[in-house]
Amino acid sequence: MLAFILRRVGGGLATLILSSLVVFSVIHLVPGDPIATAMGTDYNPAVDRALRQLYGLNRPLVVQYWDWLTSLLRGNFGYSLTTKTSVWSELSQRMPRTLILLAGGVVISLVIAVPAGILAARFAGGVIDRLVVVLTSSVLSVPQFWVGLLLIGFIGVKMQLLPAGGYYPFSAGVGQAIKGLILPWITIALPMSAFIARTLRSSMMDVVSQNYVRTARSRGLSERSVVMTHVLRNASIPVTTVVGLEIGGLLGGAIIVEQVFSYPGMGNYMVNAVLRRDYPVLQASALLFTFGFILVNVVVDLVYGVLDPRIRVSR
Amino acid sequence: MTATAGVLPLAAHRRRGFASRVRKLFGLVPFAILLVAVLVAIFAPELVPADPNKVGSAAPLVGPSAAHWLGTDSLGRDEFSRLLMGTRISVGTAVAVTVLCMLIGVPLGLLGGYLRGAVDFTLGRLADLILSFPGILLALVLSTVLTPSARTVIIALTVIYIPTAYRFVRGAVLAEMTRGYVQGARAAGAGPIRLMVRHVLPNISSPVLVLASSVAAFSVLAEAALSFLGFGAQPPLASWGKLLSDSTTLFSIAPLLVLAPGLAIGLVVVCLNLVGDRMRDRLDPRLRSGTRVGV
Amino acid sequence: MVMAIANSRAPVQGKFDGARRLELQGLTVGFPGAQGYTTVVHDLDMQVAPGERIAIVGESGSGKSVSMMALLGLLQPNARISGRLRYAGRDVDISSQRALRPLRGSEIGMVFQDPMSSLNPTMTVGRQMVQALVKHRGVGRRQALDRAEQLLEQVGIRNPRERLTQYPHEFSGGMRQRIMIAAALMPEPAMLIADEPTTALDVTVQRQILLLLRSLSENLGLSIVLITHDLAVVANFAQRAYVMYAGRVVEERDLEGMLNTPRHPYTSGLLSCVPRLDRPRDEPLHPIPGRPIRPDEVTAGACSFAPRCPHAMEHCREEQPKLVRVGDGAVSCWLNGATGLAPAGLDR
Repeated sequence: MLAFILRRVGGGLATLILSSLVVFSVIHLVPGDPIATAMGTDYNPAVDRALRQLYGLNRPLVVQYWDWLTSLLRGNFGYSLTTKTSVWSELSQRMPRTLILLAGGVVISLVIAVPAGILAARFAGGVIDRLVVVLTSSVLSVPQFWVGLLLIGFIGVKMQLLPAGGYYPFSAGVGQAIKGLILPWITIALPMSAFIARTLRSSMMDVVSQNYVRTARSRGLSERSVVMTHVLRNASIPVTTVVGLEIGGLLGGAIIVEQVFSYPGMGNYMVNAVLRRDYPVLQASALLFTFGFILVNVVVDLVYGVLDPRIRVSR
Repeated sequence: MTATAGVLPLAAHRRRGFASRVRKLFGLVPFAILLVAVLVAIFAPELVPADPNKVGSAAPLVGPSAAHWLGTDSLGRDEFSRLLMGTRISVGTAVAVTVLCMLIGVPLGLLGGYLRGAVDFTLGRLADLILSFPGILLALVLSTVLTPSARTVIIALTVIYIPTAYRFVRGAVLAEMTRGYVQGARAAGAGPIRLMVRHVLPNISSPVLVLASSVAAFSVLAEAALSFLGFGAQPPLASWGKLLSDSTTLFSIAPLLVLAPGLAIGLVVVCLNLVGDRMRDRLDPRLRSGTRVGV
Repeated sequence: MVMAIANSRAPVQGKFDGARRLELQGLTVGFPGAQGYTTVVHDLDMQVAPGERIAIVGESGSGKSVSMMALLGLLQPNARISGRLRYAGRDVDISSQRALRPLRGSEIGMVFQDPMSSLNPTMTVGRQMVQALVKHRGVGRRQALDRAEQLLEQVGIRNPRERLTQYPHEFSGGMRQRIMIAAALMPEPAMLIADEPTTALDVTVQRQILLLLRSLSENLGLSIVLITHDLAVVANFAQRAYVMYAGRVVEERDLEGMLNTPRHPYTSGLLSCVPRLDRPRDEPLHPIPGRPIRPDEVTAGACSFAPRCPHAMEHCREEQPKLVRVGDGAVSCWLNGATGLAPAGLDR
């Protein structure tokens, strides 16, 4: 098991280093000069040189990469080209907001998906099953941000039940903060839950016809025990795979949902940075997103190993 | 003799007679809708009742009427015409991405699956590298490198989906290579190219079509998302996603501006998924969950 | 029962009270098919005395596994099951899961055909063995594990303590079947149903498993019902055998008598495809001609075996024979049962 963990964590680290190199170099391949863009019409060669000196843009790329990497490790993420503020101080404020958004979304999606998937499989072909199939395929067939727009339109604007967007800090009142998060949470959770519910449904239907389930039943285990200990655990293996594949979609969802709800998180920061070609911000936030992505993937791999003992020995 | 004990019954979906004929007919509906969508995309300039980009020809944000079936947008442009023109970008992007993905991914997959060894290893690691980024991040970074436009979206989505296509095709080829007919063709002296093109490719064509339908479905959704964020086609051109982002705040005044493009996207994606499901069922009823490529 | 487990250092004991007799009357099982229900087991009668070893023999599709699974309520819920089950002197509703569950495991254990897929791959062997005991019988985990260790040792697995913490994929096929047997013995059942327990195993391992089952039966007083398609397998194992064809018992008798003078042409057909040491080496084997009848082809208007029977008469194609008692057994054949005579020519 330890070897398995080390192998997976090692693999994750290698991917991270490689992806940092990619993030760094891709952004330096960008046409359009950031300094020139920043100065706009007030172009002045002297200022240009000074700025290049200041941001270290006049040195070889390899040196720039090394400096960037080492200063990242020291917690220095550089300064925004547009707002001139420290990228790290901005990110450290925004990161918890995005994490809350994601965590709530994941929790809600599991709360919806697990019972829905189990019930659909348990009563396959019945009313609940059909409802689950129809609802999940509808949710997966429309853009996530559109669901968000409809929620804002109906619940936020028409009925005035919940805030239609924005961010309400927890320090100013937990109730309001949570109220403000409900619609974004649901928007993030819906596609994820649809996908988990469908996978759980079909994998449960698969597992329940396996011989070892019959064995468990032949030992006199109650139906409940059979489902909870034998069926669910084995059925959750493909679900884990799906969750792993969906993390990219989840992060993408967060970026879009932040935009829909004008939620000042990391995704919002990054989208604006892309629109303004603010490289330090883009580099830092892209790297953080990638880091989170790889981290969660490693965790999913580990969970996979816990769930399925056969994985631990293979490769 | 191995009767399996199942308390969760697998529903017996066996229908006969009239019901099955009705079902069969319904099965053609998604194909028909997709055909209509493609025709609209091609002939949109001929079909539009009004100039989709002409500002102020009518009052802004009026409701649906005989002249303006879906009303007008905030600049007084005919929404129905804009929706029809948007089909060009949305459906066109999906078609372009799918075709490019297949044109690049399928030969690479055949190559990797046939040659294995160093080629497969290199291609596999490249795919891993691309897949180690969240899809949307790649799309955003690529939009920075290139200028935001419909073409950029096509390039970005193609780059994102090729690794999935490669892995999928490679896997199918590897499975096919162990089959008797491949060994037979080999023994009969078929060269590698003939073997791949004449023997393996026809046999993996059905799973590849399933893959294509899901790439197309996700392209429609992803294009909408990127346009919504402002990285797609630039004004005055508008895809369905851009139409939505133009009317985000207008729901209480003109709900049709939010509903219509979203429903258009949903309809096309549902049809693509249904078509994919049908092909998958015909192919192998056990492939239920299929592959998912996501931004 | 729980007391015996609590005193887990004592040798594992079976149930010798002699009252746990199983009687099955008129068991009929049907499954929904293309045209309504298809009956796959017809009117099966069976008795198992405590400590008795019985074989149910038949080709695949003869209904032998289905009838035993029906007995334990392990068939799909869409199966239609009727018949009368008496166990230990009491009637049990055979169509009710609720009534059957107390029998499952605790009274009647089951060992399945494919040990590779019959153990949960994601759960340690120990946990699978103790689960039912701990969950439903209130036995402490520690005690249950002690018992599991003893049983593993008894079925011939070395280092049982360590092995309990391993997963099924770390064992060979024969080992897994031993584990299946030990697991079935955990709640001290009075009876074990073994559904082709050796089919998936190597020949040498097959023999070991059968010897193990036999010694368990002798030492614990365990009744065993062995389901098999291979008469050779049961020769040194069972005391009595039921031969099934197309969902019906065609012959039932003590095994010795059956092997020496089979009364049903199907039984003698099965015997003549088995190589035997007591026959000349160059004597050819005679497989039964034709193919087994499909359940939906069975009618009351003909003997199901008639199309393949070398002795079929006109009457055989007109009426399905009934199972009638003949001497120490029973047979359903117009040739034998109806006349009560065993023609000499039938015994090859």
